[in-house]
Amino acid sequence: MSLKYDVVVIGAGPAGSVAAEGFASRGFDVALLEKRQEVGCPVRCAEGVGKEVEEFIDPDPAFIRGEVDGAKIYSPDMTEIEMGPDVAGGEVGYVLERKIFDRELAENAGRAGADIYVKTLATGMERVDGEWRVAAKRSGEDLEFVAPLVIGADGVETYVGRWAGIDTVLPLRENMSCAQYLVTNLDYDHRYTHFYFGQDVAPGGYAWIFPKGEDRANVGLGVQPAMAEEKAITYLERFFDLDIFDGSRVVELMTGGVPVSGPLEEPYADGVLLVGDAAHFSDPVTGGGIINAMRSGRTAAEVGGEALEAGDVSEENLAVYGDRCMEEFGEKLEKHYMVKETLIKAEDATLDTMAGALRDADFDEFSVEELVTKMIQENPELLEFLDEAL
Amino acid sequence: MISIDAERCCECGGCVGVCPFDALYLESSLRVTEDCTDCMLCVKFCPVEALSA
Repeated sequence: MSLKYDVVVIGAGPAGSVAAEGFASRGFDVALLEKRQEVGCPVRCAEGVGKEVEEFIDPDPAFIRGEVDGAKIYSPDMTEIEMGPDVAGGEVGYVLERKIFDRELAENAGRAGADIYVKTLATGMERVDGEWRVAAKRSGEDLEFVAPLVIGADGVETYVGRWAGIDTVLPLRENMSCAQYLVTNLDYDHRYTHFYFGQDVAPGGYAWIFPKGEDRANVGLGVQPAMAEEKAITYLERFFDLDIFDGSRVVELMTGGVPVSGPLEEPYADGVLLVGDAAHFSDPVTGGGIINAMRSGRTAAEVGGEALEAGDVSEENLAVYGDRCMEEFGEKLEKHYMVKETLIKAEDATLDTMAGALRDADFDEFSVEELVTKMIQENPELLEFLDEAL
Repeated sequence: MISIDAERCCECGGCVGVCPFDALYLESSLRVTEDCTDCMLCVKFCPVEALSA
């Protein structure tokens, strides 16, 4: 069966659903494909977002599980740096229930007019006469989608990228190997996100506690696979031995790869735009990718929509998508890549020294930039490191 | 060709992201094709040791 559309969006995560809604609300015929039988489950994600999420959807207690007032950051010897509520003057972000959040975004795409196909796996793509023929299987039944434009919203493992001839392969050191528990009956400071650094805790990355309620949290970590001698799950089991977790219980296990490479230079090809993790739009320092996924989905609908109107979805005409993404968030990602490359070189003793100096610092804003600025003020030698990275 | 332990695999797809040879496919489960060169990048990536030589 051959199904004709203006645009096919492959992947109904936040990037794909926002893109699909954008196209649908512009009057285009759009098919939104999701290989799983349900949207948003499971996700490969710690579910933390900044308040920018409100640009895309009104906050709803149905999918806001945690409200975050600040962060507690621990160096290897457990020196604590607090970036508290006095800094941000209120909430700095949320921890989502993506099983509900993702589905809500997909529902909004449906409400705007997108056709949604669940349990529908794209298995290949071929360009014929200026159109893409996307082969797919819906519950095992062969389908073909035909459209001039395809949006690759299929995550870190993106096949759309490869089928379109875009080099999306992640070097091992740029794909954080992550494992996470959803934990309940946890006794802790649930208004804060917690971050733990150290070669023994999470080599090349960090461990986190992201609050999802008074006694519930995402407890996980990411390691850099070329630096870690053991598996992420082994580090997680060890992390879970900490006293803070006494009495708590695991109700979910999840794993995932998070790109920390910085953005793809050219996340587009003839008739193709890549969005979200597929385009490596996750933050190299924090690993956060939800906001940029949605921003890129929105921009893909803008640029893709203009290109469809003009009847020109060539790579040349789509290139402006790359420029807009770079302006909106990509340049910041490149800077954060430098910061990450510098930080992972720091030995535990250095991190402890820095934390000791920052323990009583007054932060002016809640951001990576502010933390780095204060770190450099305390440790001007860091500028040398950054120089090398540049 | 690498081996997949389906009982350990959480189907997160991160291994596919590092495979330089398009040898891994995550569909209803993870499978490996003959394009696999045993480069071991996926084995090193996997958070739960579901892949092995």
